[in-house]
Amino acid sequence: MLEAREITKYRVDRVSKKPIKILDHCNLMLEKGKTLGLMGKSGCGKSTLAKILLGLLMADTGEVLFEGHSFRQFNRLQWKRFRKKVQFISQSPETFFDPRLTLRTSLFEPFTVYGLRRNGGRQEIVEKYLSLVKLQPTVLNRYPHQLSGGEIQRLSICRALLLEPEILILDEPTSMLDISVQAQILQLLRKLKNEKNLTCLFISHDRAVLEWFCDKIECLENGRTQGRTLS
Amino acid sequence: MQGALDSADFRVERLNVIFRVHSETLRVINDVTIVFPYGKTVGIIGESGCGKSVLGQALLGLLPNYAEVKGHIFYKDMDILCVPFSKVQPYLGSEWGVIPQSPTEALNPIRNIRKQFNDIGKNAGDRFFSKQELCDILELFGLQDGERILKTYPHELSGGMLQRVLCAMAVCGNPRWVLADEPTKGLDMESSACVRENLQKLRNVKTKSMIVITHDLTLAKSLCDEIVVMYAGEIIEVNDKLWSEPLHPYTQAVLKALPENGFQAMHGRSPGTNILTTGCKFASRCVCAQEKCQQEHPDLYNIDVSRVRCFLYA
Amino acid sequence: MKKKKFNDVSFILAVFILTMILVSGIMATFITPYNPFQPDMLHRLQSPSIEHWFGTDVLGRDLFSRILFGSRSTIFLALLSSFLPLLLGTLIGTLAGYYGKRIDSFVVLLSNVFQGIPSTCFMIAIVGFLGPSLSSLLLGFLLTSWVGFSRIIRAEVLKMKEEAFVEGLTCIGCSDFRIVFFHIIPNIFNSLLVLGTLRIGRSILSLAGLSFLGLGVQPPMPDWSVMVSDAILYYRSYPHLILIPGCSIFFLVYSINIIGETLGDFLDVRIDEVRKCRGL
Repeated sequence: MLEAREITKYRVDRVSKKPIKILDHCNLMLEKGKTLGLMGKSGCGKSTLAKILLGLLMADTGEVLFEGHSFRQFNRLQWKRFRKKVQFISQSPETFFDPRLTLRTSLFEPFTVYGLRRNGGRQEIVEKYLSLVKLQPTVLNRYPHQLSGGEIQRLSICRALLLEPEILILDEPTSMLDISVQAQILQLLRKLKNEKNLTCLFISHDRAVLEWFCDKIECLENGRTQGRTLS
Repeated sequence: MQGALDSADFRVERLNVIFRVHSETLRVINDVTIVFPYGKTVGIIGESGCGKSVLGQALLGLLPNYAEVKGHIFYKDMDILCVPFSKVQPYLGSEWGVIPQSPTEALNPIRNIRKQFNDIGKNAGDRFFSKQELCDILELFGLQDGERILKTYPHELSGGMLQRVLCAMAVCGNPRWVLADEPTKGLDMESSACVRENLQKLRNVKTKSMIVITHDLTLAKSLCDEIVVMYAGEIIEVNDKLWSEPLHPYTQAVLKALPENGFQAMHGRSPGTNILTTGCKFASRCVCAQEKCQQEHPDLYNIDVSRVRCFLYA
Repeated sequence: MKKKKFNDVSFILAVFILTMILVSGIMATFITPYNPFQPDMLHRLQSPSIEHWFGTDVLGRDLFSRILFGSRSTIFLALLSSFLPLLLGTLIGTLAGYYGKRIDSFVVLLSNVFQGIPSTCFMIAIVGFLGPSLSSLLLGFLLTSWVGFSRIIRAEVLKMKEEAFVEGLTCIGCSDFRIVFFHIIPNIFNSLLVLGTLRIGRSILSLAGLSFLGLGVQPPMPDWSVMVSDAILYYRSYPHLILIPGCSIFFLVYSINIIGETLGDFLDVRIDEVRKCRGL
């Protein structure tokens, strides 16, 4: 479904001003309905690889294929279709929503972007997904800074699911959360991915979490993907 | 109490801290009474928002000016909450060492490491640290080329090295106490292990009186003699055998949520600090809750040397 | 600095002053006791008195009437000469900050060119070349001041672009246009407000300088800056000629700045709240 082939990415080091290779001919394949884990220590390039897979960054060499078509050949329509089908959940929940807008505006935004449900029905759909993530509709009236990290993370899961995606890319979604909240979010994510048969890429440095959540785990070391370890 | 006025314990009595934000009143710390005895390493654990960081700030006299504070915190013969900051400031760096969160952001980016050590010395009673002294301390934490590191700026060092530098800065004044605020927040397994190692070294070589504020249970387990559990601004358990015999239902549920126990989640969320509840604050989420728990607020009950705030132990 | 609130004395005073100035400008035709354009050489250079509350100027025109009428042109020019360059600077700065690379390099080059030219000379050249008129004045202000705004806005946009929520918006499919106009610009609106209001004072004074050179608002149209520059020759013997329009300018600029600051602090309140909530 989503595949990265021979991805190489350089970054310019701030101090020495020399280019450093962060990713070195990486290969990653997301299979339909399965969950792949990506493990590696902080700063090894996992987030960079995720952003390349999402089209937020462009690789220096190599290509990313979505349903057989390379990103480099995408036109605007294909990008819009891609964005609808592939959603992202990041690791810093506090900064994930526009701090000036109420959460209602932020959650309704996907509808506006795709021109869906213009004649109403937005509130019902949002409430349906809010109950899936176990939140009350009253949170819609609040601002991001008024909620805890766990609640914001649930809301970002909610917003990601609104567009009914097929692929979910999660970049260390629970690393900033407490143990008890982490357990809640992980249980929720596992339930949702099973119910909706989602394809997931779960990025983390925590082996225990990956072994519990994922079908297969890929390690990223020194910028190279090593080959699969089965969980 | 014998020698109470001279003892280097931190004695917190009936501490209440309130923040008045724009439209709401946030009761961050509710009626906390506890002693941190000199010579013991105490861990304060709890979720985000339970008040542990604010407690740490209060102990060091670093509460923001918009905080409304009631109660006392005694250190030797001083009530930290009643004296102006100028009386408290000399203790920072000399008697109290602090290891703040986020090593990459904790240091002044435009002063090199040597100068920042000098700043600490100046504040700690105009002490001057010789290069040799500083290199020795840095070596203690595994940084061999101390001379080179003293000349560098924070952005030239990796996160791990900065962490060690911060540990060194905390102990350079030979403090009696070290307070570490969430030292492993957001770090991966390897870096967390590094931090644990550094803090162990600190504890073995420099001082055994430490207060570690964290929600990383592995760190607390490996380092602390005694654990204080906070929930919604209150202390709900004080236990030195927390891992083998957790007393409070909340603590038991948190241990069940650990990876080794299968990430068993408890339902609900902790009450917001702006909500006034009667009864036990954990009652709505507690599997053992009875009617009494919703209506009456439990005290801290003594079980041997431990204390727990739950009617199950009344 | 203590944060300003809507119930501060300075804010209420500022609103009062600005309202008075605006109302008097609008109602000028009805409330002026004398014709501000009518010279009266018999009564020239009179000090403030019962008949002429602010005295008369060098041509015998009632100063009070001229002040009332003058507020129109002063405020109009002051606002436009700040907000037009702000608009242009925001547009250019946002494009440069958001898209980066070649567009950014081009904008930086353009900024360096424009900033290298001394602004007063440039203003004089433009106004002198096109002839003194409202549009040439505004064009002059536009071309000399957009760069300052553009630089600051570019920096703010660069910072905003790195925020996690912008990534999130791209992922849910938001177009660049939507991200910039519905999310980034509202978040930097506070800075825009402050920059704009600060600029107003400088514009009015620039205008006074231009008027002195004969390139500002043309007579007989009354304008406070013109009145200040006209009075320079007489200020020793007739200080009221310079003090009164000078004070009017001062009050106008003061009230606009206080209102801008208070609005800015009000918008900042949320940032304060965020900090306090996070302090837990």
